[in-house]
Amino acid sequence: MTQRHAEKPAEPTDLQAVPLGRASDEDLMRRTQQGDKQAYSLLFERYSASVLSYLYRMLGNVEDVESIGQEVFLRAFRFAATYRYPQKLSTWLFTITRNLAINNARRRKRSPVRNLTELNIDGAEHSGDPYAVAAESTDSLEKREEIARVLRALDDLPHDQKEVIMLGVFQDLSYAQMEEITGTKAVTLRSRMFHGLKKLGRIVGASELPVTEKQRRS
Amino acid sequence: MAQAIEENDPMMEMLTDALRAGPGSPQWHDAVAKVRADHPDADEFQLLLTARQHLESGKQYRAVRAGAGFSRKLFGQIEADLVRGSNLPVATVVAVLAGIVLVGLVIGIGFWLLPAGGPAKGQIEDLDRLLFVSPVMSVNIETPDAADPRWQHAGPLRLIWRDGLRPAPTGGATKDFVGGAIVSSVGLGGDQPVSFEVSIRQNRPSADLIAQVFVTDRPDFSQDLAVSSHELVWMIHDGNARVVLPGGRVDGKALKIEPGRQPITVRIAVNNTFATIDAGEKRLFAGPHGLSHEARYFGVRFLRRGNERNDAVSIQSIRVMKP
Repeated sequence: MTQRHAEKPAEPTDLQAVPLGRASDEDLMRRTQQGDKQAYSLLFERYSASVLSYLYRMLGNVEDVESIGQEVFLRAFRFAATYRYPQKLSTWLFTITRNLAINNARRRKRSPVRNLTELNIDGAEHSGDPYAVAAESTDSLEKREEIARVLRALDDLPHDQKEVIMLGVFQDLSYAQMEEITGTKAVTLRSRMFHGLKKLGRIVGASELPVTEKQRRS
Repeated sequence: MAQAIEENDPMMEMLTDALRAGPGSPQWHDAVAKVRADHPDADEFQLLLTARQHLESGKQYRAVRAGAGFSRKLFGQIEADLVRGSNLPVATVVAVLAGIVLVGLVIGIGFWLLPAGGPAKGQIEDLDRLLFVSPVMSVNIETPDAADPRWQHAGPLRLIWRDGLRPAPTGGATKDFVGGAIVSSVGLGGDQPVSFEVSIRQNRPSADLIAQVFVTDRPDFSQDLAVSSHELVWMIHDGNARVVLPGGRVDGKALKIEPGRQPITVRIAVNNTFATIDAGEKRLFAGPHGLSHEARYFGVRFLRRGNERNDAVSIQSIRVMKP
């Protein structure tokens, strides 16, 4: 997710002759609307990791991440015409991602059969373990344990609190963007963020360490 | 938290902005300074900030990326889409058009001969496949603007905005139900697919309070119940959710909704002929909605009787979305 705009996006204008790599996400999407596949592949490069990681963090299984991830980027291309410049592209894309994830959860409840196919997602086996992630962040054993504990506890948060942390902290989306994506008012999102982090804070302060000796040695 | 802060407290806003922006941001520095100055002994504030710092350190948690096969598969499909969409020889176009006409005829004949289930299933699947991503209108529950011309009040039961939308505290017992509704004042064309999404929290079941989410094609509301003469309704009464079709027929069985702090989202998706109704990710209805093709209006309604307090059910958000 590069090319962030600190300021309000400009009014629609004709596309400027900017090298594709330096074009903003929103301009790349406008080029995509005109059928520029190269522009879309750049957008895919910029967003694939954040969309797939969001799905993995929210859904927790890689098979769903693969199928829904494909669907997200396929639909974003097929329905590019529904994107309205200068809306922030990340907001539009994460609205699609979230809706498809919710639809998937609904379908799973009706038919909880998984299609096991060859996986085309990288990184899950390396970074899924909280202790391994913590070990890369700090040399302090104590801090590693605290980080691992907080990351583990994320999965136990109520869905709405977890979602706002995933979108706001992990995806760096603003409250205004989250409001647009989830349809929930910013003041509620703030409250969810606050209470979610408060729960995680209590876990930081808890005395027991749910980290196994095996994970510690690794 | 040693010193509890309210959800609309400026401190809360400052802290949550800092917590979202993360360590190193100006908001973070401001909030840390403020916490240290105002709450020197508040360990839990410190824990809150520490939890956020740990999340920052753990951003790689479950971080995955697309493998080569993922990208190949995706762009293979996109390529196939593009090829299908262009470079079609004239003969192919003619053949496809002729095919479409033939298929149309067959479908038309089939529609008359087959029972309603066949074509309906396909149309409902089409509705399910739609992604409603563009907000058309919403109600700001937390900071409602009474002058918002897009929404209007109907019925004698006064509604208030306190921790969501709810009936005003009772002014005296009533034997019969009285109703109050918030309805969109602008109708949306019946030919376009729309999703009406309402987030509802049921703190406790109540036999004396009914909350309803509805779509109507006749915005002519009764004086006592604020009910229109032709509407598709999702309702919760005494902990049970039901669907009522235009004409008053209750569809299917009731679905038990457990009370709790977490709101559930009620979603009524309609196109020109069909509707789906889901609540808390469970489907209650899918089929012909019976509404006309006239403009449609969207609303929520409370019906209350007796001395019922106003804490049983509240509405947390309301929005209308289009694809």
